[in-house]
Amino acid sequence: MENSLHSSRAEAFPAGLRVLIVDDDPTWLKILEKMLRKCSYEVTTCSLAREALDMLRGRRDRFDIVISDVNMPDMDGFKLLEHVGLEMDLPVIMMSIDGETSRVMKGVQHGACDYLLKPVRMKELRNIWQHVYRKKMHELKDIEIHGIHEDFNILCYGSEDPDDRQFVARTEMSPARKRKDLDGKELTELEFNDPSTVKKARVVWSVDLHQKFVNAVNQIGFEIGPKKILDLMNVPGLTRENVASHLQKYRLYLSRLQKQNEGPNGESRGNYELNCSNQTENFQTQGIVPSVHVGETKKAPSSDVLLSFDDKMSPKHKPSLGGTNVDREFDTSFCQYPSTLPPFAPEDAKDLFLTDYRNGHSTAIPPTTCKIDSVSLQVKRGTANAQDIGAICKLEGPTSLQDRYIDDKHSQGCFPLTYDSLPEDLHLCSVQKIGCFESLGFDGTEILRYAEESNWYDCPELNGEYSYDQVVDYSLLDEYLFA
Amino acid sequence: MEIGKLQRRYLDFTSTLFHEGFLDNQFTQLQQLQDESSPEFVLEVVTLFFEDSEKLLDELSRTLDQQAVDFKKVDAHVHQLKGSSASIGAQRVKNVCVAFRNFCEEMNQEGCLRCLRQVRNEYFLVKNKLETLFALEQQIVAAGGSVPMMW
Repeated sequence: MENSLHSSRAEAFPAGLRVLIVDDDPTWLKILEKMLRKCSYEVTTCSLAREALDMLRGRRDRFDIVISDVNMPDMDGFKLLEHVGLEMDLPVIMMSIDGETSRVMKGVQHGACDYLLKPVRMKELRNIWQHVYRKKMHELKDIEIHGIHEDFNILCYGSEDPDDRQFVARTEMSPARKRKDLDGKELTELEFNDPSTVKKARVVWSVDLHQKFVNAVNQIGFEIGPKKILDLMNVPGLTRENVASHLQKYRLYLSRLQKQNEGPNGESRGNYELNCSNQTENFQTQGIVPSVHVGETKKAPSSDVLLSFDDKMSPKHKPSLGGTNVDREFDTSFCQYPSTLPPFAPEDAKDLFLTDYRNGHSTAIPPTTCKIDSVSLQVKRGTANAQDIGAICKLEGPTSLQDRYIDDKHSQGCFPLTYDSLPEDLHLCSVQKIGCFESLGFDGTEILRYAEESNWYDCPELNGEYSYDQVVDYSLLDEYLFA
Repeated sequence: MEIGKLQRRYLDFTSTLFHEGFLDNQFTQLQQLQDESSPEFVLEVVTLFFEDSEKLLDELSRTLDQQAVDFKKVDAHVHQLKGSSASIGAQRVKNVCVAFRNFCEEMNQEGCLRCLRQVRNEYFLVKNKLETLFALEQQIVAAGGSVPMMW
């Protein structure tokens, strides 16, 4: 039945296009409905954004395209736009009587495939089918180059300079990247497109989703690859590519935590934990890794992990907030060392992860993984020592990353030492990298707000612009480190 | 009155409305959308507009009447009214809304109150005109004729 319906619809295309119109103005709703009907489209109207979302969520394949007004009482049109893009990956057209460039820009940034000015003309509505068609074309291309993509991902992420800007651009630029790949199979910096051209739907890595991901990775490890992970996760609508990019972030996250482990001595671990628990930190906001919510309460590990992609550095990296921040800074710094660090190869991540698995940690990254205990266990290479809570990760054997920064002899990897050994310029380097986030055209703040709304983390200030001033106060950092 | 005369009167009246800026091209669009499947389309839409606008105007009065005016709220309502009026082509109402929003931005209560008065006037004017227009249409139909269109 479905098939015949589908094929008959396909034949009549664009007639029968299933449009969902969302507008709180009843007059406009009626007019637009009439216009769309005249275009032979199948129209469903909705005056509330929430209602629209419910409808969309209820049956994912019920609509081909969504048209929504920007100003609505119950939910900002841009928010709805993001939701739809993230969850349903449908083309969304924004409408408004306000045609200010900034608004239109905002629409584009949030992923709108078009922005119509009211009063809308019939001819404009007649053409909306092109957005549906275009998306379908891209999806087909995506399927075609699946295999190439996967290898490429590993290649890129594993060995390239994980310059943050590029990293984000890469993960966010799916459609552009795909187009490029398809065009010439040129696996070069073509991927690093201008982030502002992003309009691909982004997967929101909710707590549950990440949990599934983590479970899947636990089962099969990093090395198998995103496809297997995707299959294991068994989440409809999730693509292999989503998993691949998420995987990379996860790996980097783990590597970062590993660095962190070389931090304060065992005793201070406890303090560190306490500190952690006072903070709400967001790896996510560092643009690379999933969020590690160091909540006020030691919640269940899975409850706070992960958020959607974000590019902004957390302004909460204030040294005054104690150990966590210190480590965050440290952490951040490390994250920013791509140019000087040897690449974090996938194998490393695999070791890290498997180790964790052996330790019986079902979740690789509990939110209080700032509790470096569990992290340290995770990152131990080759040793499973569940009793080592509080002890710093012992580096068994050289690792490409650690060699440079951590003194193997120091089993209680003295944080000061390691940090100390970092040359000043690297610090600066990190600041530069942080700057990269800031200068990204892609506006991560909206995602932050979106995530906020979903209570995925408790950092209200995370939507601020990252500023150099707020963060990385090295003098204070040192104070904490060496205190 | 015979049909021809009624029709001419109708056309003249419509033409004036456009010339005087009460209505703009959007109204013509609405008329063009009307067809056999929705023979009362324009009337229905305009009725919705009336209902919505009067609610908004009341809201605006209430909001501007406060000691501490919430200008954001006022602006939101005006924005809605602007959108609504644009939907049926009520040009003069829409234009007052534009000025109205500027006063909101400036948080100028006096200016806002003036605009409110103005927008109310314009609204009732266009409402009156449209009701006359519909009445003329009904007369033609009642006399057995068909309503002539401008385009």
